Amino acid sequence: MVKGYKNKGNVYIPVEIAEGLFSNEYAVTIELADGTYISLYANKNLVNDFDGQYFLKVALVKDTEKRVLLPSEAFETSTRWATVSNLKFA
Amino acid sequence: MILSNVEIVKCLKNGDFFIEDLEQITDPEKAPFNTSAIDLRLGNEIIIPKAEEMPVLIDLSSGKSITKLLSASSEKITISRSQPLILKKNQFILASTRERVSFPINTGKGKKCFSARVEGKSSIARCGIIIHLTAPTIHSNFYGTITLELINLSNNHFALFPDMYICQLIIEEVKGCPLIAPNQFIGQTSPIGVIEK
Repeated sequence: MVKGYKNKGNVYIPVEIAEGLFSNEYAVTIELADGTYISLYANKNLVNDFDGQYFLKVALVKDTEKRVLLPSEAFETSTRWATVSNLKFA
Repeated sequence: MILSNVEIVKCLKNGDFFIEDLEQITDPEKAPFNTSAIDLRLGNEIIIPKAEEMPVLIDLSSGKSITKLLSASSEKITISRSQPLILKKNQFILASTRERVSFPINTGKGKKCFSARVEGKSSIARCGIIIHLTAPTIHSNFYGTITLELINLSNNHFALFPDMYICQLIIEEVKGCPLIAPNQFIGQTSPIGVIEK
């Protein structure tokens, strides 16, 4: 168990980032478990840099399926639900 | 059920949700409170889409990053009291609230979850200004500033100043917890709902 998992209750998913529209947000691209990509704008406070890789803070909905709740709707799927292949516990 | 001004203050004190700059405001009978809403202010960043730089067709299923496309074809400006944005007839822009808000998913026993709707203000509406487009809901688990989609439908120009009251937030209690949280998270508040200062 990674330290902080139970106490914080959050997970991170790997993302690519670019500048967002507003200065307090990033344009975030996420690879889903099926290999497709989605994108959304996320507040910068929800994005962390771990060893040069960017991660987006999300809520874990179902850990067995790695299904997460995104902070906002993805443009490509119009939904906040996403199933990813990689998670990182805080 | 829509929260009254009195209930909003109680919830803010209780930490059920968060609205920036309202932590110290305890009198629900003064601005920015209305009887059943809170007025929010316009932030100082404005995003102006550049129609000439956008593709003729926006295809969300194209597999290309829509966010990068929108970012690359928009101009960001900063407004001030001395340099407001003059919203022209039929012009469409993006703006945001000055206040960050947070509506965490509270999964503990007896905890309540809340969501909100951003709505226009009658004074601005009567000037022919729309402040959001079809997406008023601030869902549980939302964190951040609220993006506004402004359009000027009047025959006049309209001046937008930072910190002017631009919209109102209607807050409602969500019946039940929106997530069946994994066991590890029962009783925890989603950190997405926590403002990090």
